[in-house]
Amino acid sequence: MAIRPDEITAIIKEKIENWNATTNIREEGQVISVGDGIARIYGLEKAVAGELLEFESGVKGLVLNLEYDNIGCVLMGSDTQVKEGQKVYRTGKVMSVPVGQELLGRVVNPLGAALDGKGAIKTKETRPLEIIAPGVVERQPVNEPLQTGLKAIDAMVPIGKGQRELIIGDRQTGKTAIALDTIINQKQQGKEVICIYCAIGQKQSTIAQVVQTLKDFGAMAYTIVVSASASDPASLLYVAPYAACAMGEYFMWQGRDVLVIYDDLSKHAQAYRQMSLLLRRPPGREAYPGDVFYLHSRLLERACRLNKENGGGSLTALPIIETQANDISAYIPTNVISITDGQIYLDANIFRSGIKPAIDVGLSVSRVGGSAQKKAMRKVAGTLRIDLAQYQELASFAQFGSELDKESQFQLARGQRLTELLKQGQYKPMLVEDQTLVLFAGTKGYLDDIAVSKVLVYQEELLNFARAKHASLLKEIAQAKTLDEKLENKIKVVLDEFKTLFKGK
Amino acid sequence: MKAQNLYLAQKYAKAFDSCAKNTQEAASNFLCYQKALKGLEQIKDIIENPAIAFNVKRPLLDKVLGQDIGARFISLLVEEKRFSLASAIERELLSLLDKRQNLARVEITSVLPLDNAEQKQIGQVLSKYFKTSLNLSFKEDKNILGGIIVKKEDLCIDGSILGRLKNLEQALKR
Repeated sequence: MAIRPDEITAIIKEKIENWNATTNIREEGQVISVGDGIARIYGLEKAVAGELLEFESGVKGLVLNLEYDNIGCVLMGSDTQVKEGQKVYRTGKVMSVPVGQELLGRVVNPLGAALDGKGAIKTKETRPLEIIAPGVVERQPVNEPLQTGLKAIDAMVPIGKGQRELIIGDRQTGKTAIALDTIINQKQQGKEVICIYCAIGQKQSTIAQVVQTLKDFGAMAYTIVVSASASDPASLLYVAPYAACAMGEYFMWQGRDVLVIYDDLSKHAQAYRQMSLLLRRPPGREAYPGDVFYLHSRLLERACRLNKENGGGSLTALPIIETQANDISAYIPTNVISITDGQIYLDANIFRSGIKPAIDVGLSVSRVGGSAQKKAMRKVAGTLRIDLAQYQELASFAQFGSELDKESQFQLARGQRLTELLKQGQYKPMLVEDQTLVLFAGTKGYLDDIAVSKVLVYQEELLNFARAKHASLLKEIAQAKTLDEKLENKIKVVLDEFKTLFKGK
Repeated sequence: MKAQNLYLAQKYAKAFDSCAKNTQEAASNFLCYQKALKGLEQIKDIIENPAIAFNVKRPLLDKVLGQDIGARFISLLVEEKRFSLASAIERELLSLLDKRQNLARVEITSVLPLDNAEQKQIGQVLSKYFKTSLNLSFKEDKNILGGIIVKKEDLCIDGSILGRLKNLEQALKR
């Protein structure tokens, strides 16, 4: 519907008539210099670090440096409208973002303004960007799994609700793909997990693609996308993850489970480095400022599992770090590895050899997820890691082509099949009972006499067969507290039955 | 460099101010300092010349200034090669004195000059609001269109027509 011109005039007229002319009482300073997204301000002696300032042109600024005779502040917008000598006002507020249900399904910038052209977002509440993370008394241990739907992760590096699991790897190794799969998989889970995807310093085209994918899979309904693209000022990139976290915390304190993905924190650190250097803070290793560790630790510490008295909500963080040439010993990767509760390491060579997701089993760990894993899955996957590790060692040894004994040949064959079994297509998350069933088949040797190339066909047909004829068994696995002998035998019967069918083809 | 100067000026001013036992003495000390500074104006070139040694300047200083506390303080500044800070120190001393006297300097801007009764009225209201005694100064500015603007340090109470129009502009933009 088109807007009639008189409607606009009427609105404006009404606004002017109802305009309440109040006297402004505020503290003001002056811009000394401005450039590169940084402004220096004279006056405003009472301004505090982290406070929001307002410039005459309406641009907002964040106080970062308090010096003897001036204030260093980063601009949350274009610096072309800010000029030397302009007035700057204190707002007396710290930065905060709008939070609430209204944000679900929307694409917003780090200040909470809509970017998707679906109109302004009117939320009832706001939350400050920087909050001290919940303390020890408010938390409980991570003891519930967050299913990613990826066999390799749910079996070997399980993630619990409230955990911080780093996804690390070179460019083009499928880091974002894992994050997206996890978001899409939350749809299959009973109680919906709210997902927040925070894009930091990425191409607009990539962000658009992510949003489209989420829409295609119907995942946007429970997702918020916070976008600070490569063309946004460094200050927006800097606040983006804190904004995403604040939006997530709102749901967490309401007792909901939240998943926040920070894609990626290396660009976040770079944006902070840019700001720090322009503010003339002394550079340290790799020119990052001294507090770059605290930058990420205070963000990731906010991931937590609240106890029952506080509603029992959780906030799981999946930060992503992009390495250069497989170097996980660079400054930012080592920092974030030490902060998080484990990492999923994606290897470019594994990716190129066609194993996707390209998870390096040896270097990937989950420090708390094990206790959160479903008992049935834990039992099945128990030997998986060791089997694969042994296989990898043997495989590199067997490359020399020497004659192998029977035992080694068996291990090689088993390893090849397990590796094949852990391959999984993008956007094809699996339910935990399906995963348990196929991994059971793999670790108990049901695949040993099937050709490696047929493993994935076997998996698909087994699942079809089980769903069609033994749906109750799958249900039982899903609900089972533990994988006891009785259930194991039941599974074995089904697998034997399927084996004769599969071989008959 | 500027920040360092300010820092130094504050240090000297604080030391000089703390020589006084009470507010009255501080005020008279400040007058001494101002007088000494004024008296030095004719021999400023000599004092500021770094090529001339202090022991040459010393008798000259004694002759011009005498022996009161202001003079001694300025001699010290010259000896320490900090005479360039003198005017910055004067500003700092004034603000320290204001603090002692619980006095706030307030600048009031209006379109037309205010008459005595208006000035008095404004002074009464403001000293009640700020809870201090005030040193008012008045200024005219045609650009503010109407009303008054009150400024005390960083704090600005904008009751001008211009300010209100700007507010309206911002509100309409949103």
